[in-house]
Amino acid sequence: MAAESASAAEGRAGIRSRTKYLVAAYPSVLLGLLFVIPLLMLVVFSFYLNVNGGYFKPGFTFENYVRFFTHRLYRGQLLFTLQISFVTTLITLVLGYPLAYYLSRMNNGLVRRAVMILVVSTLWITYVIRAYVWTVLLAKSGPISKIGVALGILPEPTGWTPGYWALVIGMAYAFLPFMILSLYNSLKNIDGELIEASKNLGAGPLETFRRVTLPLSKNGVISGSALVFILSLGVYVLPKILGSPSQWTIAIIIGDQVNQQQNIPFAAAMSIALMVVVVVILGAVARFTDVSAIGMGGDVQ
Amino acid sequence: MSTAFRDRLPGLALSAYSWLVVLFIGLPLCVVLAVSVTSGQFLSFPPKGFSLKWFGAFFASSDWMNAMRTSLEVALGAAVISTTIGSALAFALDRYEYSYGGLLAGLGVLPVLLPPVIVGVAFMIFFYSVGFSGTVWNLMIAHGIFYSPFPFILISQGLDEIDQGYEEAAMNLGATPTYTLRTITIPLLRSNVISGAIFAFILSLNEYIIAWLLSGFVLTTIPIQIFTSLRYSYSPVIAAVSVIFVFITVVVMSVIDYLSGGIWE
Repeated sequence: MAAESASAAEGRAGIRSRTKYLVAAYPSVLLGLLFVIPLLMLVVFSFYLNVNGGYFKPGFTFENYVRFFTHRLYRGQLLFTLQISFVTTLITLVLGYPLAYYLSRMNNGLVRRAVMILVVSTLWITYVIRAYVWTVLLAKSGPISKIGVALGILPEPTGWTPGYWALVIGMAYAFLPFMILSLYNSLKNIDGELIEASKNLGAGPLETFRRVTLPLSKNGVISGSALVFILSLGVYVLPKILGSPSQWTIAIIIGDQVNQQQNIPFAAAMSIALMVVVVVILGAVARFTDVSAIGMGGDVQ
Repeated sequence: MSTAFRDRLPGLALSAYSWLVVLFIGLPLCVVLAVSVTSGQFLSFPPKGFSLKWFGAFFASSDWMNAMRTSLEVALGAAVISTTIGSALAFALDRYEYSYGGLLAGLGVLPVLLPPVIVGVAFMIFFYSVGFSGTVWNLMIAHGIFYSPFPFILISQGLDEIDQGYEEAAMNLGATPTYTLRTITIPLLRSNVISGAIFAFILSLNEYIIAWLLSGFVLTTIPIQIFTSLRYSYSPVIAAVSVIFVFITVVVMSVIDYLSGGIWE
């Protein structure tokens, strides 16, 4: 977006050919030195040999990658991570779309702003706190269990943490704001007159939604889903607090290899594998929709 | 009457469902707030009695205070690093044409789209290799890079929206480009720059996994301290800390919203 609009309009302030490279030098050097080089080193280390006792030896071996893709445990955790990311994306879409639609059509600006601040505020709370909240809510002695027993839905006090559904709820809770923001941005840009026109032509609210609103919000659905899916692939804190070891995601396996097993080359190889998955998704989104990387990043705010 | 009702039914169902989702988002925060003022010894809900002693316990504990200081130092440094990177990059890409501009723009947003655990491991290897690790500087640099996309995106949007007419008018009236930049462009961008810096600050304050991987078991930030405490006990202090953090976050977000005249509109 910024790149496209970089027309060298002569009248704009700050145009000097010699400052051109000076301005770009600072971010380029910092990002190159402190982002690109660490990532390249990660690639290099993923081919190193592991030596028992937390050391590694420079070398060139595919052993780390072979181990990752052939070992049932690691392959299983990778598949589990993909599966739970998919479930999370689906749930946030089902919860987020109606709310985003409702907010985008709301006339009361004050209420809309308050809800948006609430949604955005939870986004900045550390995952540790957000996971912890659900351990309180879903505990055996927690409020949900108590209400369930009082209403006769649950035969006895029941706890859900640690467990699969606790993790799913925690992840949906953590990533729902991203989905809502993506969808809201695309829904509020739909011209209200198109919806009016559809209604005037005799379509009911549901038909208008299906034939007009939903197709026009396609980009929001795609970018929001891709964003939630990518964020879900990297979860570390939530499964560590809300899940049991069988629900540990690939990020936890990576962290574990670093700090417990001290097998850095293997951790690097798994990181690269995970990164490839993320980059492929980003590439696919950029290729098949007109949502650019910046557009998707823009929805992060 | 029944047709009128049938027409309104989807709208009513939508509004009911939407408010349930808002409840899902808001209720957990209320629960932490309630738990933090319990007078009991353990985390329980509903809380027993009312007491602010767990807030007192937080401010009296040197462990928590140290963690708080580290967190604030790291967040401040990260905000400075990410905002300088983001604004320079946004400005460069808005004002000039580079043959590798698309690549730079991609590099500007990529850090935050990668899973943090990968960024953490990459930085760990990097800092280990250059023989410089386990200090607040490492955390600042890593967070500063990881969150630089936020100021970059916000300031790019700001530059996009600026009416070029103001700058042209200033220069037609004889202002030098530098003077125009200082008196017109920068003031117009102020809220974007401040929002970007605050975003990075808040995110860094709350980041766990990168900080943990780079802490080398010597540094403790607030999220690390909460995580560690959860392993040993479920003390209500954790709820009190959470409330303080949520409070800071909500106040700051409302200030950004006010400063930028409704950034989410």
